[in-house]
Amino acid sequence: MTKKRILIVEDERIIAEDLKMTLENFGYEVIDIISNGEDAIKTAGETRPDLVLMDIVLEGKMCGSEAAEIIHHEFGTPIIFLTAYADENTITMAKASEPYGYLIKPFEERELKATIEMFFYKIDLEKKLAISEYRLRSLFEKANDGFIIIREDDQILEANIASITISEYSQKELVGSPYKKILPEINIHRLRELDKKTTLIETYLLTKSGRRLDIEISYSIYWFEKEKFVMLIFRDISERIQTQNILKSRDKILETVGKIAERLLSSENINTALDESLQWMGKATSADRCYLFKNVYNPYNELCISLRNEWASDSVTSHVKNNLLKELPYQGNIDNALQTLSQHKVFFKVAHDFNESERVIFEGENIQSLIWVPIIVDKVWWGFIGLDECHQERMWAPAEIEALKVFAQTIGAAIQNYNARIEIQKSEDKYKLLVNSINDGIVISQNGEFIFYNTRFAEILGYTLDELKNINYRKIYSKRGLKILMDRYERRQLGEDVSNHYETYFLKKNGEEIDIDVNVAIIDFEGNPASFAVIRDITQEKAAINEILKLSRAIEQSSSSIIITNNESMIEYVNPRFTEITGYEKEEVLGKKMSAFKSGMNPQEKYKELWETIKQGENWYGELRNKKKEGGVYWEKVSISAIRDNEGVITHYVAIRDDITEQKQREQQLRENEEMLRSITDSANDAIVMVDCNALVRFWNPSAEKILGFKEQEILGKNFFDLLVPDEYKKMYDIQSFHGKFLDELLGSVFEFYALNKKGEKIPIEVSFSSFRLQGYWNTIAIIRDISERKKAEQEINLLAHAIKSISEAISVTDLEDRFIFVNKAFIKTYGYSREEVIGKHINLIRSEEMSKDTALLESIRRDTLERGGWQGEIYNQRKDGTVFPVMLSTSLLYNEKGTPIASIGVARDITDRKEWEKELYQSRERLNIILHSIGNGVIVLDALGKVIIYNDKALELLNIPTSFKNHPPIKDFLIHTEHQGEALLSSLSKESFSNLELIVTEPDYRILYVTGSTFQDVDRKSAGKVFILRDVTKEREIDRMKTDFVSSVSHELRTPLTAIMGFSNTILRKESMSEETKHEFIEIIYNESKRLARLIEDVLSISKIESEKITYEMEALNLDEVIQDAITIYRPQAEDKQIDLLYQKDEALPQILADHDAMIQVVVNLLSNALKFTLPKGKIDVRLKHEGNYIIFEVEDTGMGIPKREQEKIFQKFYRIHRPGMQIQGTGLGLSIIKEILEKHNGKIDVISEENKGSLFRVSLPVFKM
Amino acid sequence: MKILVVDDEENIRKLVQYNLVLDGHEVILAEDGKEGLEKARQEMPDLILLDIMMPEMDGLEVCSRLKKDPEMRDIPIFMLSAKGQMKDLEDAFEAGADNYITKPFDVDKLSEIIQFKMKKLQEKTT
Repeated sequence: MTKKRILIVEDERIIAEDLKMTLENFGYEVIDIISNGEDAIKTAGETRPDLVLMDIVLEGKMCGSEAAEIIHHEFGTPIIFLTAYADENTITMAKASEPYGYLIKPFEERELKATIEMFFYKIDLEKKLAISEYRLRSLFEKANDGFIIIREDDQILEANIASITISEYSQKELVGSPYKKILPEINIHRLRELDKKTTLIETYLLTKSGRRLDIEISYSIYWFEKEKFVMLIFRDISERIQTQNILKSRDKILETVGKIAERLLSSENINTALDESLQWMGKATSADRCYLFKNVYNPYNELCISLRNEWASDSVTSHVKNNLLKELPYQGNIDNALQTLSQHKVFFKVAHDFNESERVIFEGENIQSLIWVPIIVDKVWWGFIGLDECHQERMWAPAEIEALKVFAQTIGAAIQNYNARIEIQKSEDKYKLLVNSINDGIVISQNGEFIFYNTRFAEILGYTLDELKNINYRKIYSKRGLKILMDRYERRQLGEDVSNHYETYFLKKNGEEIDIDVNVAIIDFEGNPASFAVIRDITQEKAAINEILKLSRAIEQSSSSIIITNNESMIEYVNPRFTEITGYEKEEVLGKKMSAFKSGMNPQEKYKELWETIKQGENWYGELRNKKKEGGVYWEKVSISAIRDNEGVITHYVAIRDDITEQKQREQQLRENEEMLRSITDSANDAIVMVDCNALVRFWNPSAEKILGFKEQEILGKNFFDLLVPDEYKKMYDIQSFHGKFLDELLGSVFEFYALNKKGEKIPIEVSFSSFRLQGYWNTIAIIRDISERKKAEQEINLLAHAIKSISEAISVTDLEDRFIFVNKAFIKTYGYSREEVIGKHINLIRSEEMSKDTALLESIRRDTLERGGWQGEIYNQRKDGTVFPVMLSTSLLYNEKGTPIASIGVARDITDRKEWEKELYQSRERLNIILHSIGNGVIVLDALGKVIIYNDKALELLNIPTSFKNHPPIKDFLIHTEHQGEALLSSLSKESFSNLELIVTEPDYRILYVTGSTFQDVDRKSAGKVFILRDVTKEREIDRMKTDFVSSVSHELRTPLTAIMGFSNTILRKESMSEETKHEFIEIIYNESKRLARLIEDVLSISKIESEKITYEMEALNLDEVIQDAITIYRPQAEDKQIDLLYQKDEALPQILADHDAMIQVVVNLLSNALKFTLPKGKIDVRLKHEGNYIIFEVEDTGMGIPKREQEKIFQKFYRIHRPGMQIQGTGLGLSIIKEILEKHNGKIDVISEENKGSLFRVSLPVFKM
Repeated sequence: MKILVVDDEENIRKLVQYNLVLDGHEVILAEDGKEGLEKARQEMPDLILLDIMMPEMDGLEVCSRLKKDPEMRDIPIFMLSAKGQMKDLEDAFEAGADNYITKPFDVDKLSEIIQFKMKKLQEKTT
């Protein structure tokens, strides 16, 4: 255990020290002793002691209790006060810091120990308690289950967050309230008494919003300070309950389905069974409505729902009253229903998802949710059953839906079953129908009872089918009928043969007696004889016979003359009117043939036709001219009909004749008029059509047929609007109110309309209407002219005119005297004149001055236009503003119908832009050509096929292709001198673009080319080709390589002296015991190597300056001699040291050179020092300065060790140093290369002639300076 | 240990010699590649310190020749060169060098490297 850390705050040092010792003896650690309040706070903050022993009275401004309060509140550190006096005031002040105790000074050691130990024990305990309470509380607070603690007085003491969430009350509302507020069904007292944990209790919780929430409660009881508390732990089990309910509901549905299936499948009457089933299902699911809809098609062939059966609970109105549901198309009314149901899926909707149309349909039905389950009959979607909820939204659980599907399946099966039964019954019914539909009554009776009778039988008697069932058969006979019945019976009894066919009298239900024809047969019915009678109501026939009697009387008195002949035309009867008209007496004509009375004024064919017609038994109608007995001729309208006997054989003819002489005369007149009219109308080119007040066509002439396609017989009597008027005009005119008269504004004038012809095509017509009244009704005559040809021509003209107006070429029409008669818009725009300014003017108006003078040109235009029909060419015209511009003109001639030219047409196009463009194009091509051939890069352009279409000389040069090509060679012909025949390039041809592709030319020199390739497109963006740019990078690469070499050489050369410098200095430092001699030697080496390094750096800098051309030479005319003299002066002592002869020879009157003075010093000094370096003692150095032609020659010749042939080339390279075994020659290896560089910059050169072991001659040439 | 030092720079030879002798080694010197090859054959040293940039025959050539000679291929060769680029190292190991020390080097480090590496090589062979 760690020591408890205590801070003492006490201003009396002795007491403090004593206290410290005591505490340390007890085993505590005393952190510090502080004497004032401010420091105490600071130290307490830094050290965080476990306890502060604080003197209340302290030195300084702050007293102990004040400091204690701050420490306690800031850091939570517990305080025990040390005080000398325990007066109330002091204690009160100290209380603010909630001290754990007080020690009154002076205190005993025991007291001190006890207080502090007690304190720490308490602290420890409190901490443990706090942890455990925290743990419990967090359990209580964070539990998902609701916790409430109830006091003995039934009030809630505590409620956790979960219980608040579940109950919807706030903490405040819950705590202190009686528990019954949320748990009305729980009896806490009983629980208390039980005093032991029983099983879980299921009850409900009443939430703030009044919801009943199913919960499960467990509880425990505990005692605290003699009070008994009950803790209830509850859990929301509404979901579980809901699931249980759903399963219960499903079971209930399925149970009901069982019942329904039994009922449906055994039922005779499916409708009743369905009604019942729906009721059961509605009740089982506690839905408000349960109904069945069948799919039907309406006349528009839309799939509709149609209500068949329904059950509705008492609380709602039934669908039946909803007219909308009778035949309601799915589409557009109930969203998604068709889609869902037709896929045999369940359709579900709640009211707040209803769209407008759905709301309209279900208006007033209060539907909150509906579910529709498809019914499938014979694998086809037949309809659906539906369930409505009107009081709440109901979410159907999948289990319930499955059950509903079973219900729908059962219904489907029942319907299928029923349909099958119906099929069977239908064939039976067919016979019944036959029996019932025949016009005769059929009755089977046995032992005085009707066993069977058909509908007709009942109908004849005026009874319903059912009424007849219980009627004694005697009742259907009238008195007379009964008499006949009895009579026949008696006769049969007497053994007489009674006719099976007889007439009798029945009595209808309404008491009316009817005549009946009976045909009876005795048949065997179920083993016994029965009478089978076919009866016919002949009341009317009887009446008809009576009628004939009446008729014959009418004939006698008829105003028409009536003749009856036998079938051989022998007259058998004439009525009085006949004698009256003809003047013949009855006796004179009877027995005579009709032919005897022919007038001879009717055509023979007419009689032939008459006979042929009536012989066949058909009626003949016609008009005949007959003669009177006295010879007068009269017109008769005749109708002749045949009279047949029972077998249908013609026995007589009846002729009914009316004198129509007067009528005939009127008709004749009319007909003549009409003939005349008709011949007029027939010959008219225009269609003449007459329609009557009902819009029916009454007149139709041949032209109408020609124009509109309908034949007269096809159209007469047909509706004019239906057949002839296009839809758009029908709208214009209210057909319904057409009374044969067109609108007044349409009458009289000529209109252009469209009419439909027989093929239904719209043809343009010109029509005029006139209406007139005929027999009180309006009739209209339309005179119609086909104007389609005219229209077409008009359209063509319009089109042409429009075209001419709108085309961009300037078009002018001039007469043969070259005067403008027409110009189009473009013309006006092009030339700047207005139309008025141009028309009538001579064409010279627009010709440029130059052109007007060019008679040859004008003549050729004129001649070609007139003789060859046209001229074409470029000319110069002039605008109104005077500008002259190039025009492409083409002329042609315009002829009249006779073929004589009447005008010429000029089409001119401003080609200023084209000219400009051509010029530009030519220029840019030239420009490009120049660029192409003058650029330093090779250019090769390929077409899409890989053929070279453009290349420049540079490309040939770079690729080492000697001659130009004639045609377009393939690219590979250009690559014959490249590595692997240009493999690198050829394999990249397919790439869109690439850059810096390395192409190596192997012959004649090694050359590296960088190729950049890009794809180009033609103007039409079609054929793509490639452009290759070839760049010779051989030099660049060489320079790169040299740079790299230089860098690595420099670094190497720098490191070598550095190694020596570092190494030796390191060695000196490392080895403590080193002789002064060695040390001196090493330091000398370090010094020499440092000098070498410095020289090296100097040389490197100067060579890189020269190379990068950063050095600027100050060129001046100078005497090289002077430079040499100075150098020799400097080096002479060295030469003498080595016993070397240094000689200098020079020509007289040496010319000057143009050079940088310092650079020349460098050259001379370097060469001299080299010679000295490599010449062995006792050797000789010759320095010479000569003038040879345009050059000053400076030579240094030594008798040194010479340079081997193979090394002579290398000595001018950087860092190359002559090496001789056994000789250490100082140098940087840069001297000669610096000289070479300098001389190159001065247009001079250096050469070497040397032989190994004999000596070397360096020869510098510099151009003479010419003023 | 008998160590052959091949370097064309007199001062470097002197430097290496002084320090190795102090460490208690026997040191043989050669000024160029050719001499180095001859001395190696004659003396059969325990270790060769070989410069690369040398006249007559460069260090790489010397190294690869030694490594091809069955008698001398087991003599460890430490290249001692001012060339410090990656390429140079690769070339050296290609030629069969056992170690590569770049100039300028620390004298103490050189001693340590020699000791450490030799120990490692011995462990390997035994």
